[in-house]
Amino acid sequence: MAPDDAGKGISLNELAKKSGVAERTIRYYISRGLLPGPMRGGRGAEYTQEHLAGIQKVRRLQSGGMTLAEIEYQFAQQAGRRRAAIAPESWSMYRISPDVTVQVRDGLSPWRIKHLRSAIARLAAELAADNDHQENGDDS
Amino acid sequence: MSVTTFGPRVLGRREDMQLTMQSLFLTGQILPVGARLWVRHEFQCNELQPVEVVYAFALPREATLRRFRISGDGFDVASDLRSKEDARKEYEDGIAQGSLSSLASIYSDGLTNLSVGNIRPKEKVVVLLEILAGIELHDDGLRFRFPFTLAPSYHANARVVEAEPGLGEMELPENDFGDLMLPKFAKDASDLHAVGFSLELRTGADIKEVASPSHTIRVEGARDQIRRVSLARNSDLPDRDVVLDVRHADVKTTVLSGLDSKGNRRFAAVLPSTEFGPRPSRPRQLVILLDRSGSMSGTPLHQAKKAIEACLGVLDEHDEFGLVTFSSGSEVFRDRLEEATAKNRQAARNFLEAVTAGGGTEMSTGLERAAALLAQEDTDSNRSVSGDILIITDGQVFGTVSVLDRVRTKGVRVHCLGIGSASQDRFLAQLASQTGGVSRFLTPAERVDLPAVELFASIGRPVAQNVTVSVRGIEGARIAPEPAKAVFSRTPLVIFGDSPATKELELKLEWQGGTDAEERIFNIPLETEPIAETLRLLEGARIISDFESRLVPASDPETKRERSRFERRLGRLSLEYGLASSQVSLVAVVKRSGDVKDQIPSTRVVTVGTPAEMEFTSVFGHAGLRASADRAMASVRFGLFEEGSIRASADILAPRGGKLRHSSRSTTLGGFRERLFRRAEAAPVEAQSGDDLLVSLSGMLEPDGGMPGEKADLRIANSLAALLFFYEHGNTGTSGTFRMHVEKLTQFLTPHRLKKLEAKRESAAVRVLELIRIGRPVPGFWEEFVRSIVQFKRPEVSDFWTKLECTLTPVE
Repeated sequence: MAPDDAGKGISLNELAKKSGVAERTIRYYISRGLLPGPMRGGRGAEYTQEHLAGIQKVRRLQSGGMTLAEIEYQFAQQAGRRRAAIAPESWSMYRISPDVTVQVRDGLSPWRIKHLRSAIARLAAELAADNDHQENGDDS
Repeated sequence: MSVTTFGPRVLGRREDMQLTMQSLFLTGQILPVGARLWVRHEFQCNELQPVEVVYAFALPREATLRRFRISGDGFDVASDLRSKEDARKEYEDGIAQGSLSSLASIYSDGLTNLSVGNIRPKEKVVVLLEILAGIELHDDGLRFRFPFTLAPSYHANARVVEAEPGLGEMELPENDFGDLMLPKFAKDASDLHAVGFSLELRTGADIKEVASPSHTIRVEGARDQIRRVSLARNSDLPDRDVVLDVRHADVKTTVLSGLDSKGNRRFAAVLPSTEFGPRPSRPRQLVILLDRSGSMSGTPLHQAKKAIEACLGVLDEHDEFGLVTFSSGSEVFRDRLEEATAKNRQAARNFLEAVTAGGGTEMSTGLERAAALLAQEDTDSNRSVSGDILIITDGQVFGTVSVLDRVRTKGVRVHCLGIGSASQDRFLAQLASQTGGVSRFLTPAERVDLPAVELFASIGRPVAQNVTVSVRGIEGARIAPEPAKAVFSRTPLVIFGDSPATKELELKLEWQGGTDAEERIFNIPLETEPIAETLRLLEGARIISDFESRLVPASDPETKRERSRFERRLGRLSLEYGLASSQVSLVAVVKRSGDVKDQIPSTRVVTVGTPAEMEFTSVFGHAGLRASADRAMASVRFGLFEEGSIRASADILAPRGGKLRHSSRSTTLGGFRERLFRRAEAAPVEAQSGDDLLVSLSGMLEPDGGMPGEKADLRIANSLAALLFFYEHGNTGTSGTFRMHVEKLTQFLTPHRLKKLEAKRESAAVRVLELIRIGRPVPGFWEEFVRSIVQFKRPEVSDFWTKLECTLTPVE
């Protein structure tokens, strides 16, 4: 575990300030195994750039829609701590044209869904217009 | 990456085998204008290293925290009130020093975290937290509600997951909720901490009845005005609110007063609506707004539909109504208000029949749609209110500040009928009070339709409007918080205030009645009861919780500045009253011998039960996924692929032939979605009981006030039978849930109309109406005849008249 740029660990309070994440939340991440514990326990517990990067990674995954439990599961799998299980996924299939289907993974965030709905509707409209042209024999 | 926690665990579950929070016990007093409560949290560390426990709960209506005491082996320390930043720093410094630290912080929506850090292995710690809370007042009693769990509610940006079989987790966006930690939600609450309560009732009136629709209770005490209510069994599960109903022997005004520590006179008064005169009769403009989100599915939606039908039955032809439903989006019956003609009401019933439950709870969309219907019909610019909305909902929504902000300025009164075993009572009470309406909150075990009709009877026609209250002749006296501007039948007006003078006070009330401006003077007697301090705190809790609900999330520099000003004001208010708020927290640090600096405690979040009657899978996922993948997780967000909205937006977006793909198992997506968003509707229970018949009958009234029938004489017979049945069940023209129906039926049965009957029948009908008018009993049982009306069977009219004439004979 590398210390920070100055070669010295930082306190939990400093880590909280640098990451913008409350101390209690950082402790919770550690308790859940999302972050390693401090460089040394007991007196003078210190944290490193690795902790900061770890927090940023968790936040990034959260903003992508993952919950802490999902991140915990993903980390555990990556670390090979648990028997690899195939994570299930559910997908919705939309037939937008007689010869075209679009598949969308379930469990996306609402704003993502909104965006996809609009994109699929546009694609469907475009395909429908193409079909009309073909049916009318209007290739010009 | 290292695993830092150890400890025995239940196989297959992440929960510790020994719970960190062992029990939660509620004590305190329920008073005429609020409740002063103490909640005892007992923690114990059963791990090999220190723990930090976070317990999350929702504050009740008009509630906030005052203080806590933290005690254990050799210590008993009181909390301090600090700005949230200072409190957080003190807590964290305490944790870093290895001291026992405790912090109570309030977040948006009244969600609260109680954190206790550095509980040593084997150590027991008790936190006794004082809460000041409001109660739901009625003219003849009150309903008290306190949450023992928290409902996982809808938020468009919430992240939700079933992390372990039967264990759900929910995370809310940090922008609005900061570092709030929600509890874990267990499908089965039986392994969790124990809850119990023992409360003293001092409601200032002779208590006639105490009941609980949520728990089995024991009531003790022989004195007329004091009772002790406790849980009948040793403990219960944390999966629902405790709800207590207190019914008083009389309807009367209650006045409390006393001198506080600064020598100021504090007072509070509860004035029943009957003080303001009768309900005026004037045409109404109202919209019924029905929550059809997934969590309403089954019996609540079925009952709500029946309730709306019954409400439609009491509309006059001159009334105008609208009907809106909402879930992830909203749907309207018609895009304008309609006159309550028979044709329109039937069309509304047909619209209701097609309504199904599913999707999220975009309440503000529904409220805005309903408000827009009222606004477009409002041609009178002098009116402060363009109409009334009755919303029937479980209120399970987070981010309520934004909903309130969007509705407050619409110029509509919102009346709330909430349904749920874990309350959003606080939110619905705010929604009603801030728009000038009234609210009621029911448990799922109770009927929805009867209270809906009851509430509906009072809205749209307040007994008093433009109410103002002032203290006569004393400079510096004030009324705060501002009382309701309108008073509705069955709901009293509550007044809080204080005065620097020690002499007797006179309160002047002015209001607009049915036609005239009216006023009345009330005396506040010179009492020296020790209740003044409690009144001051309850007043503060009401003001602060109202203030909190106006802290709108800020986006641009201007609104951020405005919010900062608001926050500073809230901070000052909190310190003035000595009460916590989102800006001021409670903190205590206990230094013990042997504290080890910089030892990181393991953070544990207390698990609560998913509210009883709430389908776990409607929020947290699908058993089929778990069954097929060991320890895999099914992640589900609210409001996705909500069927109604997909179909409405574009047919091509309706999933066709979708499959749930998995290496070892395949199931149809349709079935999956059915379980998630359309919990199987409970088989509708057809109207059979007396109450069911009353509701069904009330929904059949024609706009002219009479019952339907092919010919005039059949309509009269049906109307008379319905009237007798309502009367038999305790309803008159001025009292009872169906008083409006009785009033309408009586108006329909005019002497002129009765003349169409043959003389003998006319005479019987006139006698019945007279007996009802003077409040005399009318013998006989009318259920059989009424049942045939409700079931659209051809009733035996001649049998009815014969029976009526026979039963009237002994009366004379």
